[in-house]
Amino acid sequence: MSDASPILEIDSLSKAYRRRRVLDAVSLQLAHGQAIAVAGPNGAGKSTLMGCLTGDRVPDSGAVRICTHDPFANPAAAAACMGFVPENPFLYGELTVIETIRFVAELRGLDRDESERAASRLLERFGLAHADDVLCRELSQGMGRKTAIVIALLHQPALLILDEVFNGLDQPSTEVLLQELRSHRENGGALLISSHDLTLLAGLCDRGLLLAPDGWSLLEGEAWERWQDAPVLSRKLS
Amino acid sequence: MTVERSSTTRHFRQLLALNARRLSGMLRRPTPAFIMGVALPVVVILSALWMLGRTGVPIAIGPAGGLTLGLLISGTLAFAAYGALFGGGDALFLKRLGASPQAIFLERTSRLAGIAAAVVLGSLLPYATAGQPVGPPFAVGVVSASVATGTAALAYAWAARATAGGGPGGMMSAGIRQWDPALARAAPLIYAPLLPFLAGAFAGAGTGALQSAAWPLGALAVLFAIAAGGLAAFIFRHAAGRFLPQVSEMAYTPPPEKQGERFRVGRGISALLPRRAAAVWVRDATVGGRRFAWAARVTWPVAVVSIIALARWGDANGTRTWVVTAVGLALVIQAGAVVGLGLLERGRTRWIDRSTGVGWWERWLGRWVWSWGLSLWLLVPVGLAWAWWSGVDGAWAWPLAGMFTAAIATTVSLLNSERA
Repeated sequence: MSDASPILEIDSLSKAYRRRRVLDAVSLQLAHGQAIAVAGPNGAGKSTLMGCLTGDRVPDSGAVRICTHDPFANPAAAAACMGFVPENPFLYGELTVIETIRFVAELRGLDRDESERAASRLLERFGLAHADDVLCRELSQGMGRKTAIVIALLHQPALLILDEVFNGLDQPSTEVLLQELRSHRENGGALLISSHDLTLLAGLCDRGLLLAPDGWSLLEGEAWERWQDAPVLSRKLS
Repeated sequence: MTVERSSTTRHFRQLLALNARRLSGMLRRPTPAFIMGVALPVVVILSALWMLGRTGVPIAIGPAGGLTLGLLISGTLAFAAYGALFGGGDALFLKRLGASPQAIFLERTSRLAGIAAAVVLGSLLPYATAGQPVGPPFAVGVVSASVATGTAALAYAWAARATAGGGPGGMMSAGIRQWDPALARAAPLIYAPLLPFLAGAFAGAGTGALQSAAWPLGALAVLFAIAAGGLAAFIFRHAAGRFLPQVSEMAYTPPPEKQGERFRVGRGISALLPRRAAAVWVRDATVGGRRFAWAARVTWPVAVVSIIALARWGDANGTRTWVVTAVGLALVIQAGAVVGLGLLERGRTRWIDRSTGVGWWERWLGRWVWSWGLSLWLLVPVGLAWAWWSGVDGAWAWPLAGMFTAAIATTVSLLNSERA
């Protein structure tokens, strides 16, 4: 894939649950080194949007391309290009942290030595090095999330999709994650991230996708900065 | 980072190794859910099969015997197939990691084959305990289970493809399309169990009739299962991208209409309890009923088998011993749900009781009434059957046993919920 082609393309993506329309013809593109914050009230469709991108939810209409691959027609190719941390990450309760990471590395076909080095670095960075032999079912919410973050970063994906990733993280881990995300962007990676705490995303994202029950809007430049600076209760979709 | 070329074989091997690792983890460090949800029900089923042989059930092999055994085996596998093939819970996680859909399906089919092997071995138990030769039923079992497994893999792969492709046209979904289009799309999945059920049963009948050719038939059936599994994985490959998330979406149960109507305190028997204890009872029954649905489900098979056993062979000591054992195990399983509710509250929902000032005795009373009530659905019918058919006194002891078990389970549950 050339650097000119977008890493993520969303074209008129729509999704409804029974009769409730959650996403209405959402369209956007994300190129190398770009980052978009997904914001909106509870139930606005942030997780649904991310699920439709990762292949966890089937859109009713529209198209998604991740590194030019359709995540439904060619899930393996799309997965190779993407790292995803869902709002409630799944981990095998019967495996330890390091076993889970090794399993992921094997499944992704990563070089064993390189992936061990990358895992050690990330475990150390996120303060999990002492807990690598703990069963995942014994992890706290924050440690489980940090394990999921390590899994998502392990193969240095071109696109990171992070859903409420800061929930349950302590302050040092939040700082480390922000550093990793900045470094990811500087290295040409793209980022789609949702968080209720937009102050964390200040300076990290250059655009904002605002979702609301009555529609969606994509803000960039000054409009995005003004929206972030506005008092929370006065923020409107448009 | 260097990435090797992905391959179905490599992923299949890795998934099998993961299964082995998880299984050994479950056995070495069993969770209460594993003990209550898997281990104890297996003990109940095996003891029921043992009793079947001890009580001298006629189990001749021939076309009719083969059909009966085939129906039992293929019915079990047809029932288990959806859960084994699509119910893992980690399929989306594996898909996100780029696991080959073919490898995922092959690994799930091997799970079904494992269940099939366990069912065949379990079905031999009554023959062994009755002192009958196990060769003929083994041959029938192998053929029936292999054909059912292979057909199930094919039927469900086809159903997945039809569902992912927008659902079937024509008569299959005609009856349900009007009132629930989402269910109509899943029509192929609803009909899929019929094929393995019928194919396995008829294969069993054929093997029962052709006992002289039973072993070649067995080898042929195993080869069919392997080939069908491979073909099914190939068919599934193109459906996986859309179908695996659809499985997850289908698992979502929307709340039933007027759900709040059920949650009423002060009506019926709850009017007899103090207000807070009644509220605890209704809350525990609602939360426990949804979170530990298996505790209620265990009632019916144990009650039905116990009543039939008492009605048919109630005067035999062995039958009565089995009924007491099976009901005892069922009570342990139900007690597990009550204790599990306490574990669930620890560090989580117990703050609600504390902040609303519910006293320990009100919590105890409400939970005990729920726990006892849960057991009465089993103990009353079994107690009545015992009184009518066992020829032994002591039917009154059944509900009292439930009362006592509920008291212990409630105490343990509340002690657990209060642990730091």
